[in-house]
Amino acid sequence: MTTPPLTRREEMAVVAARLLRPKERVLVGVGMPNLAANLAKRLHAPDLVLIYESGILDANPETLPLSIGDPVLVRDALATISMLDLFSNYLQTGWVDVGFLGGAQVDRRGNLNSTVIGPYDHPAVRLAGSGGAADIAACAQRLILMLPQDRRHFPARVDFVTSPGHPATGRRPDGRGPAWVVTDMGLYDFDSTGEMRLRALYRDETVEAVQAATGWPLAIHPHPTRVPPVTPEEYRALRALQQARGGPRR
Amino acid sequence: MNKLMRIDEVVGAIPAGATIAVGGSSLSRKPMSLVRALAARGRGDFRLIVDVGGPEVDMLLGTEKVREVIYAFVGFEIMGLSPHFRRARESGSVAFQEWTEFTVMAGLDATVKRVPFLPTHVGLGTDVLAVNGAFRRFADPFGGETLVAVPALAPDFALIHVNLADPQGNGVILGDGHVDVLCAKAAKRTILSAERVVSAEELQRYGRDVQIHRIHVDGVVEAQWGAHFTGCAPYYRADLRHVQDYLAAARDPSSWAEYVDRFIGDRHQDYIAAVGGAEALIGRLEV
Repeated sequence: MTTPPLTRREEMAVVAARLLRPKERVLVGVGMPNLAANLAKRLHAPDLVLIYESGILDANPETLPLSIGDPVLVRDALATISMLDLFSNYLQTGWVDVGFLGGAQVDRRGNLNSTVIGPYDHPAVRLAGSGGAADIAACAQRLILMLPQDRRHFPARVDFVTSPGHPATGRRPDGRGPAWVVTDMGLYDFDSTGEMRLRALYRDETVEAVQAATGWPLAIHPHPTRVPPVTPEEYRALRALQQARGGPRR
Repeated sequence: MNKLMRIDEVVGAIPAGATIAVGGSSLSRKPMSLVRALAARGRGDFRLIVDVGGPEVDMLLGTEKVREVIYAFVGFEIMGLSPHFRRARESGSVAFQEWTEFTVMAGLDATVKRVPFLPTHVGLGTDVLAVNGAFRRFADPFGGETLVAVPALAPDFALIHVNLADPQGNGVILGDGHVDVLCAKAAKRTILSAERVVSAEELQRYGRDVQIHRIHVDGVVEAQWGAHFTGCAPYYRADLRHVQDYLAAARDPSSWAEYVDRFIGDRHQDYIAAVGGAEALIGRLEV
């Protein structure tokens, strides 16, 4: 049996999964965050509380959900509630520990763009829009962001602030806001001034390469580390999750 | 009171220029049989209000029935961006108002509560406030904190697909609820399409799952597979094969004309036959 190595994109999911702590309540965005959160639940955090914005509390999906409305999310969930109830009486109270989001661009303050590439009135690419991202970013206790890293995704200024990062004046006064950024080159946190900071590199990356892929002079942690390699257990859990996935039946 | 209607009667009841809120989310429980009928025969010039939009917005844009979209999201999730939405947005042919999921809900909720706006923290520090003139920053009259005022959203119609309904307009939703109850409460008139219409006695056995109440409903249409090609939990999943075909057609004007001709009409049974018939759908999509 062949066991293909993980792609860097898959490794990102492992790195992001490690950032989730047991019992945390995570509002899971579509795409990469969905893979990472489901992976964490199958590794060190089986009691992770997965929340999906369509109104699903404590989802326990047997297989990786393909969309926010996937029936696999409803089965075995603690409850399905209205989105108004979720956003009003759970998210806005501060009950959600982690907002877990992808996007098209991020900047040094952790501002996230999922609305438009180019000028708003004459866009080069019109993206899907905020969805719940702006709401989640405003209300979750901390945010984990996942994006590929290059100058397109890491510009000096995002073309549109869909989800607020840390203000130019310092970290968000309410103690919330972006905590981690996971990319295909490294792992970033935010320093005491609210500036994104390189924290760890994948084994084959260099500071020079990462800087070249970033649209601003990158802050670097005093002791940047290497991302620990994927363990056999993590590898097996990720492959099992992917193989169990239903997918379109043709 | 018997509120059963035919799809063509629903289309006839919705005037040009109407503001229409649509339930469901992206690829989940969209009232597609009603949407296809509006795309084929609707009077158009519609304003759409969607929290998480997808095929319904794309299809009504592709058939030129829309003058404005108020939305938090329009897309096909993992299947990709919405082709007609992108095109309309990039060419400026239709007006778009940038909202967020919570603010769409707050706007509808304000209408339900008969207040002109509801306050929130959402939007502070974002460009949503810069490009959407509907929102206002204001100072809390008690403590002075800066908040965002979300104006009321008042739909003329809400279109919602449910698992079961009775002829009086009570509706059962078995999967996730999205914003459907809120749309039903906020709209002046609400039309349900239902996988199955059952008697009031049978429906009431569903207890708390009777989420839509008849006092908010004006019309009921029976449409089995009425959410197709989106999913209707827990009965059937989204038809990702058809989604792919749809997206391929929507990206290319000549195949789009062909798609419209083949699939978009106001006769739901014809549509089900065109996608291969109910038997085939059961085999592929039933959960």
